[in-house]
Amino acid sequence: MLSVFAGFRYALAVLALLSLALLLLPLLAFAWDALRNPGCLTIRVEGGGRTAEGELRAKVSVSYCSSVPLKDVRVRIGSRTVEFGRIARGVYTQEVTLTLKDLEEGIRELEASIGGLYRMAVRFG
Amino acid sequence: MWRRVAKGVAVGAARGLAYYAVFLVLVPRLFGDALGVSIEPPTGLALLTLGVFVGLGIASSSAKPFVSVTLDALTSLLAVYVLVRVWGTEVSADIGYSGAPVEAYLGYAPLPLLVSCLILLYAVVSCFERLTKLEE
Repeated sequence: MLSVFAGFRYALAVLALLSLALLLLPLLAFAWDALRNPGCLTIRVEGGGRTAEGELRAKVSVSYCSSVPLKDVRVRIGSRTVEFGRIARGVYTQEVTLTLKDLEEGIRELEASIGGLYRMAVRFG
Repeated sequence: MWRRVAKGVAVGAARGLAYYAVFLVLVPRLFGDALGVSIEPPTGLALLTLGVFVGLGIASSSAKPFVSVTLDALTSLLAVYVLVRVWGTEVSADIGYSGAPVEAYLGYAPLPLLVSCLILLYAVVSCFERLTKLEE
């Protein structure tokens, strides 16, 4: 009977190692990529004319270099929030309309979830 | 009689110190190094936890087997509490970027949650093992 419990202990130790490795891997890979390349995650806002209502058309692009996908990516420009959803390595662009005030305030916040596990946010200003 | 009590106290104190060293010193330090942040337990909490761990260890080593199992389970619950209290679930820091103030935030709730679950699972297996041993 006691050997059953010894088996449980070994199984638990293996489970602990595996689950910790699986959980830490996305965070460590993201940290490694971000530290190696400081421009790994960049946001760019480009103007693209005016709408009939006088608002500004803009292209918001996010470029990302890491192999770890980011989920629920949101960029807040002034009072406007641009949702990118899930992004992997590459460049993602969205067309949005912004007010002049939004553009003056600039990028306020970037929110994302590293591998869907770790919530991260960068707030400017 | 006195020799048995002294042995119980020594074994219990050593176990309490071991719990303290693992959950309040070693694991937070490793975790802080991995994340690149400093995780320091508040001094009051550290002393209180050391006292409670050592006290529970001594009581567990000196008490009757069934009481001892309960006290060991309590020690595991305290370890989980200490882990969550000291680690927390998020970290934020002000980092300057080109002279502008920038606040960075990271939430790492899944990590303490997983480690807590593993500690509790280990405690349950240990309790059943000791209860089975007592019945035999």
